[in-house]
Amino acid sequence: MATRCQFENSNDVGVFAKLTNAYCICALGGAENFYSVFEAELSDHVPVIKSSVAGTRLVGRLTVGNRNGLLLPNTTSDQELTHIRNCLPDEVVVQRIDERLSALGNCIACNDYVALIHPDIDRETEEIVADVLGVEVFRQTVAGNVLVGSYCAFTNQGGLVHPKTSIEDLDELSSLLQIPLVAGTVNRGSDVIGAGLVANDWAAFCGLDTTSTELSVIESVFKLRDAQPMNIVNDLRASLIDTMA
Amino acid sequence: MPKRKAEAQLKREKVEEEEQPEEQRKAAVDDEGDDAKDDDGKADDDSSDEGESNDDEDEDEDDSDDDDSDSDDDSCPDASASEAESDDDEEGEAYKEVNVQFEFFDPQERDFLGLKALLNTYLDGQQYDCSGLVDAIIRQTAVGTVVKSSEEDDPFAVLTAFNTSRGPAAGSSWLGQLRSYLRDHCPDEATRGKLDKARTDRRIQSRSGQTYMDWTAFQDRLDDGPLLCLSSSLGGGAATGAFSDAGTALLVSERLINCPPQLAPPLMQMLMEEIEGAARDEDYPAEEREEFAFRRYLHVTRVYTDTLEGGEAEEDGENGSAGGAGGSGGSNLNKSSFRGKKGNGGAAGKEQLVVYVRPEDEYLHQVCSWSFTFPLEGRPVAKGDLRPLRAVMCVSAERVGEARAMMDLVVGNMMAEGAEGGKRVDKAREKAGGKGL
Repeated sequence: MATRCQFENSNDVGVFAKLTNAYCICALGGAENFYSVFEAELSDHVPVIKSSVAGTRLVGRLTVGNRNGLLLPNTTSDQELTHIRNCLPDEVVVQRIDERLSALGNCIACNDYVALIHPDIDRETEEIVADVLGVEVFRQTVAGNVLVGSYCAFTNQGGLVHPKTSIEDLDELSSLLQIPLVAGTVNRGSDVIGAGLVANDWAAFCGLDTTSTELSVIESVFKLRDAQPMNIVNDLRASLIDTMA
Repeated sequence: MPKRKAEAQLKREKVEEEEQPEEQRKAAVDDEGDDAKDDDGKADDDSSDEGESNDDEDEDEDDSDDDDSDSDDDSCPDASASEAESDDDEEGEAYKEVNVQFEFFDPQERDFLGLKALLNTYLDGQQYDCSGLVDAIIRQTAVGTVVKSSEEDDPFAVLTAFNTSRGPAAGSSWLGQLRSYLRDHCPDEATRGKLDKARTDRRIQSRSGQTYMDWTAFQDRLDDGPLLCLSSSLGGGAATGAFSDAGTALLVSERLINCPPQLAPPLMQMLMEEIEGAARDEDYPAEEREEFAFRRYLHVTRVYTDTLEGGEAEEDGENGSAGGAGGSGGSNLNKSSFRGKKGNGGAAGKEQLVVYVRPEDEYLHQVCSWSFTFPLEGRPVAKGDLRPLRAVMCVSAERVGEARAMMDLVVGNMMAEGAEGGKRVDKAREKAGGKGL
């Protein structure tokens, strides 16, 4: 189920929350509304915790994680690290890494099996990502943008990428990730997908401005309802743009 | 509506303006840096400046706008200082001049996110239905202009007008939120009355002792007997004040902090022409034409103030200036293009310098019927800096032409005159300058 919500009047839900199949981290300090939307959907299945990272509310953009682990930037304080470690289940390995590109959520996009990373990330970080998150790592760009974490969002079921991604790129990424991908927008035309929505295998959250077409595409590609992939071709065809000529 | 489209087409055929070398720092950062920075910027909304700077676009021009707005916060004198500096500073790469072309468009769906970024702080940090406001701007095709550097870019400035009592905007939540926001910040009852005496200000009490907050609530219970109205007007319950009177336009005007003043005259001209056109266009149904028959304009804008005495401006000082501005519009002295000095009737000896960042504000303020200002709360201001204020003024439709004429004289209207006009206007400016304006 895809749900619309807002964090303090901002539609960029992916900035203030990190959602995976094993846990969800929300930013501190927002209205309880935001937190309760997440709890309503998720708390039966996974722990939903509130934390800050590096003293900021940008938990979505500074951290990256999946079912197996969570990576935090070097700016995370010790208390935050301990707090997060305590709240998350033991199977999830929490590690703080030293990386120049400290906005990990912007530079790395991953699901439980594959990760795409910013082309300039250090070798050591790449190894840690492969190790802690248990994924296969690929250095890639999305629509010519190096910030893979910002411009795409994917789960084990499917993914949404920057609207200006070419067909060839889409095919290449799709075969790398082994999941169906769709180029689209979120939050009424915003192309920063990673900041605009968060998703896991059974739930997705996006901003209040998201149009119903965008929401249907999200629900379709992430397989959040009983939808056949062919629906994108059949029902939604008229509202979708295949190529940007 | 073929006539309407033709006019829109004309406008879309772009009034191109070669901008005088714009003194903007060319951002030497990558896209990556900016993206990470932009996300930070978003999160800091509640503590940030009048962030008309949170564009999340990748264009270089917009990025350099971002940098400028980020650094230029509230301090107007700083901006003019850096402008002066960059003329002399030829070695410093940081002060390279950038040519910017400004084009005027109708608001379109593609501008949604850019307009949202501009209008997020319309209520000075208070949350309100910004999407609703931007939606209304985009839907109103008859009136409204957006300034961009090309069709695909984010808007730098927007100017549009809504009828506050009829039409689609009248019942909307953002208008209600704006209304309450302004009413809450009125300095006194009298001004509040002029702005918006809502129905809820009057309590209607029926003889049976029931008190109703609202005329409509009372009407629902007509069997309650004859009414005894507590407020002064009989048969009352009708709301008065600028917001609720018929024929009032709310001007929604926002622009990036460093926009050149030359943008204002063409913007105003286009707005007035569109309004006139909409009010008379035979292709529109009579109701819609009525909607644009404006009798007065409510202008909500930002100004700055500087107390010439070292200390804080006190409440009565500001009230005095607001009262003085409203009452003695005609007798104000103007020292330079963008500074106005208000004689203070109330507090003796204290001078309040009001600094206008937008040229049209100054002239509209001179011809307005009433106005008031209020300070923005919760924002620390450095000792030497100007204090930001929000100004609300009501200008009757007949006098807008005067204000525009004065403004065109001083700032120059490139649209009206064309290339030749530039020279004529310069001459007029010199003459005006000679008079000590």
